[in-house]
Amino acid sequence: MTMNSTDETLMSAVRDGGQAELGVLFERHHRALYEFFFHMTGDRRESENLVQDVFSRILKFRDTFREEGRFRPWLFRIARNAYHDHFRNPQVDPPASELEPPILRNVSPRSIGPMIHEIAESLQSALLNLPEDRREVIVLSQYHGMTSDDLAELLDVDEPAARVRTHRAMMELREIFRRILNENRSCDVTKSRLTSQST
Amino acid sequence: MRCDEVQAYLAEHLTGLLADRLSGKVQSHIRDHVMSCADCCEELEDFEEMQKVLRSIPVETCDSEAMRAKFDSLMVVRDAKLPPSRLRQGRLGLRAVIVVGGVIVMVATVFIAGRHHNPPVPVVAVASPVASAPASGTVSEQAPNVTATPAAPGVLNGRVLMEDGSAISDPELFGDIEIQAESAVGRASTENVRVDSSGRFIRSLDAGEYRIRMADLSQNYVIRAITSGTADLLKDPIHVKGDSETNIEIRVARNRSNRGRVRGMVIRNVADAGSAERVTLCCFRAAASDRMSAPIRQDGTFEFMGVPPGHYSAELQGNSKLTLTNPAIDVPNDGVSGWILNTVTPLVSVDVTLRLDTDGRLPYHPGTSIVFTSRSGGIRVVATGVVGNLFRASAPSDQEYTVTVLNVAEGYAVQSITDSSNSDLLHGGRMIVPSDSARVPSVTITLTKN
Repeated sequence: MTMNSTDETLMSAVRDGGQAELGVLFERHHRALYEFFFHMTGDRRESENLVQDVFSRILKFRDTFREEGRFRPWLFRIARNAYHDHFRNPQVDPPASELEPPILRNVSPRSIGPMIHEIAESLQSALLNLPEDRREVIVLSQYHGMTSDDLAELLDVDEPAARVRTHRAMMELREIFRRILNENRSCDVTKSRLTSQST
Repeated sequence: MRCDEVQAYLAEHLTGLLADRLSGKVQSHIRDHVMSCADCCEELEDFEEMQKVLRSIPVETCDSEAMRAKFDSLMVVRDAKLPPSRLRQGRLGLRAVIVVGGVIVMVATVFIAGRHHNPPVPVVAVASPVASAPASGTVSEQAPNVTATPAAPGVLNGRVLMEDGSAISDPELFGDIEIQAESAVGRASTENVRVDSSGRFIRSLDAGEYRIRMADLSQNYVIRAITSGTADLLKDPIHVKGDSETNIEIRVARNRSNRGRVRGMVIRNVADAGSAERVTLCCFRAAASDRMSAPIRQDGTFEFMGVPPGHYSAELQGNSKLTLTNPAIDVPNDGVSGWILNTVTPLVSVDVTLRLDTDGRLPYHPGTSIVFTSRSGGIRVVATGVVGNLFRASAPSDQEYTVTVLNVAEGYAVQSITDSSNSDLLHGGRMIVPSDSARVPSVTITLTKN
């Protein structure tokens, strides 16, 4: 029964004391949550811990899940809160900065090709340079397939506002991306000019 | 529709979800507008390129097993700490009544016994390891305080025997067998234990319910029974009690069935690629996975017996650099014969840049493709567009390739094709893709206007 049940049915059972159902929800959603946190933080260990925190919160706040509500926006609302609470803690370092695109930190250019690596690195830097609220909508819409309806429910705004927010975030990402890409390219041109002069 | 209205929909359009939500009329408005508006068209192309790169950013994979184990331990702790939920209240309430009732009966019995014997008999009442009760003397009228403490781990003690109860004759055959205990909560495999040469295994486990199964069972054996006393553990989970020993027995028999026989051959296309020693078949199911392995004989053939029907994927084990090109197979009830497993050398990424001789902007032409063909013609790899003028191919290594460009944009022609060592690939040159180069092989294709 549990394997074929909807998320909402399972969560209702968890609210009523079911544990096996929470196990099924964990299996279904832990990777998506991990990827959300990983795109937000770029840190694997931190992301894994945050996923545990989310499931701990689900148990703690299980009574707040409404029968008629949708599970996924509710889950990601908990994930957002876990993320913000985590970085509100003064003892926790803020997420990685523009100086080091962390998602590519452990990826060698050889494995994905140097040019693609360079572009991906620039875009990752751009993503990390976005204000948190913009980064969040891009991660949720581009990696988690959230529609503006989903985002509206999650962010507590109306649907047109969520749509406009996503578009603005994409435009802002593009501007930062172009700037970083141009900086890198002009740096490459300078480097190759210096190399040819020295030879 | 105005540009700003259309553009607000574009980011969502990329996710492919817009079509489900908008009416056909609005969709055609957006489409018509983008077709006729250069600004919006450029905006869409920019977003598409960004999205491709965003999705090409690799994500370091998480350790799902460790996360699941941590989650399970969270559940155990929560179960002890959290106030009972509505459904559990009934069960716990009943348990509390039984415990309190038991204590009352015990107290009453001792009280009556104390009345009948003079002088009173010293009594030590132990309701739990830390139950507080008068250490000696007359029993108090009050029930002792019963405090719950975590139970000590239990011990699972098992043995593998032949079907007739005799010891397993060739313990080496069981060297790779793992016995996996699964938590009754979900899918997690919580404990693994190896069978020793005498067929015995032992494991300390927290009190709880577990399912016992055997992974990596030799194809020459089949499981007949897993039991604990009269309990059939092939059907039911086993309940391990804290601070006590639970014995289980696994009976196996030689597999004499031809049913589910899978026979095949590994074709080694490339010399000096090391030797694969075994083929492993994996079948992933909802609750667990089956794995079995068989040696590869000198002539490349292998054989599995008693393979349950299902969808499997094969892996090579041993000191081999080979990659299987056709690892997936559906095994029907009556098995498979003549399965040819083709191999190639490991795949290597090749970067391809398409540029204009004037260094100007290339026309947007997603139909262009780059084809790598090996010297023998046996391998043909087509590079797919990644972003704008960058392409990427995954080609088997240690091969020589010719490179051709298909479907160039109208009005343009290929001027030159060179690789990183400046070989002229347009006029018969071949590109070598090594497996161990420190640099990623790359190709530059220069187009010119006709």
